[in-house]
Amino acid sequence: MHVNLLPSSFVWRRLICKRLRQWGFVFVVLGVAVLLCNALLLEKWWRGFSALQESQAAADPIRQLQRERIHKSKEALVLEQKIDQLQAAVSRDRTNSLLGIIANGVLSSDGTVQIQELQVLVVAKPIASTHLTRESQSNAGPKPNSSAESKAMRSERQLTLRGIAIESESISTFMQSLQESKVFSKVELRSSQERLVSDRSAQEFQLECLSHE
Amino acid sequence: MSSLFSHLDRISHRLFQHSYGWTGVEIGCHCINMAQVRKIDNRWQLAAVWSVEHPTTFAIASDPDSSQCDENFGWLASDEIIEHGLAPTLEHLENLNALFHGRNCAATLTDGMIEYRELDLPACDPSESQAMVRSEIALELDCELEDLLTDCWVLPQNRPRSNASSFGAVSLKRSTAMLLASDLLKAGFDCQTLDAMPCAMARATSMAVEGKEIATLAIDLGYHQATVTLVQDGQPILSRGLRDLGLFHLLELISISFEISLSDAQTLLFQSPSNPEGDLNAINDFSNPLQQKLSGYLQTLAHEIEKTLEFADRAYRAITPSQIMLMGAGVRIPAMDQAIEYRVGLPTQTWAIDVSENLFGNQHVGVFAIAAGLSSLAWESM
Repeated sequence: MHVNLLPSSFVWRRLICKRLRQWGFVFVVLGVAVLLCNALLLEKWWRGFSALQESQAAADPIRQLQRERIHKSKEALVLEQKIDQLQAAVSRDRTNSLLGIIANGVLSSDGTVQIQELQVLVVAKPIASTHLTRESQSNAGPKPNSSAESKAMRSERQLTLRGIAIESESISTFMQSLQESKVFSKVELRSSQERLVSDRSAQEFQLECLSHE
Repeated sequence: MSSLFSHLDRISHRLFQHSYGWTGVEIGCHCINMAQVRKIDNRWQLAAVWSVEHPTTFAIASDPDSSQCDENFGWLASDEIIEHGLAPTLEHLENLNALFHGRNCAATLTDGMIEYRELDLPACDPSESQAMVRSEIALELDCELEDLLTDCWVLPQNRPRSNASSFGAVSLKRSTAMLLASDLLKAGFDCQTLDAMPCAMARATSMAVEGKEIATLAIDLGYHQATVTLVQDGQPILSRGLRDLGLFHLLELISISFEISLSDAQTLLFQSPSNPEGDLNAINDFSNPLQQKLSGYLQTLAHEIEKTLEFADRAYRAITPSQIMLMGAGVRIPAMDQAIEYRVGLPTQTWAIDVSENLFGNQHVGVFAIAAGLSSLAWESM
């Protein structure tokens, strides 16, 4: 048997402290467990992250290749555009056809017109700006910059005819024949002056014709 | 949840400290004795002991020029302990946690600092009897009920025909109990129980005797007083504090007679006799001045024991002690048990239980009997 002369207030206080210690211990254990779990999860996450970084590092050359491919595609596009421009600029050789038309005109003037010189000049002129989307639409890469945009070129043939006609009416008939051929958008008499040819009076003239492709 | 923790407490006690008791702390005027017992195969064993003396404030404060003035004899007057606690002494105990298992302790104040009295009260419920004892003591001490802590237990009926019950009652000031518990807590000991001397003596006695049913007269020879308690079945039947029979009075007598310090007187008193085989002859050698002083002390002690035995015989005829158990600092006096047996005529033995191999030296384990009795409270409280 025993007696206890400890004050009840002290006993209660001690009991509360004891319970607090026990709860504190429980919380510390739980805290440590949570920390451990977090550490494990973090370690797992870190492993995944490292693997991802390694994969990314492994994929870098592929990406580089992809970037290079896109760059080359753009360059190819620009080159294609230049080729298109050049192709547009270099039209089909219709000179022979034009000669035929001119010969027709000469014939229509009953041989009173003689062509002494024919000069054909092909001129490329821009007609309108268009966005070239052929490559960019098929490719997810960045849009081509403004330099990549190109203007469609229109080629014109400028014919300069120099010849001799017996009379002015012959020149007029010849010009009319050329205009009626619908090949030339413009037929213009640039000069006409009288001249003696084999002691005969004749008209030396110069025409300028424009023909579109 | 609270009950869950209580269960956990019990489980942890059984799992981890099943063999060790609490730390028993016996606080006296000269020193604090600490002990821890353990149970091995249902046998008690003293696992650890420690003793620390109080600071030497007594002698210097009382009479610096006196021959008793002794820097080596620690002393705190009971009033000082009651008023100011044990902080100066317990400062040195902070490193003792390594020696004892666990923080739990049971303490008691000896040397009459916890007052014991027997009260006859009308038979009533235990709770009512507690309240009656408390108010009775408060009335007797002329103090407020709130300032007083009391506890009591029923004593065997010595007057069967009367309609009254006898109670053994102990009391202590609330402030003192609070101070002691706080001081112990600061020193790293969590005080679970503040027990009283008769109960601790009864438990210590039942630890050391073979048959618990054998009535035993336990005698604690303390510095400030000797305490005589009649014990049967681990219960204190009656208890008496013999104030004039404290060892301090004997030491003072020797100190004055031989004009030596108290510590030297103590050394002289406790030293082993030159011929250990003839202890009893040595103690009865009246040509030796020291033995003359001791003989006087023993004579008075034997007289008081006989008076107690006579009273016990008168009051409790069925409970007549058949042996004497000595404990406390007085057991360090050589052949003390033989001297008392010789004078009183009852078989006398010094308190002893098995001692752990960890304890070295020729320990007087009887000094730690009260502390051991307190330590065993761990099993009683569970």
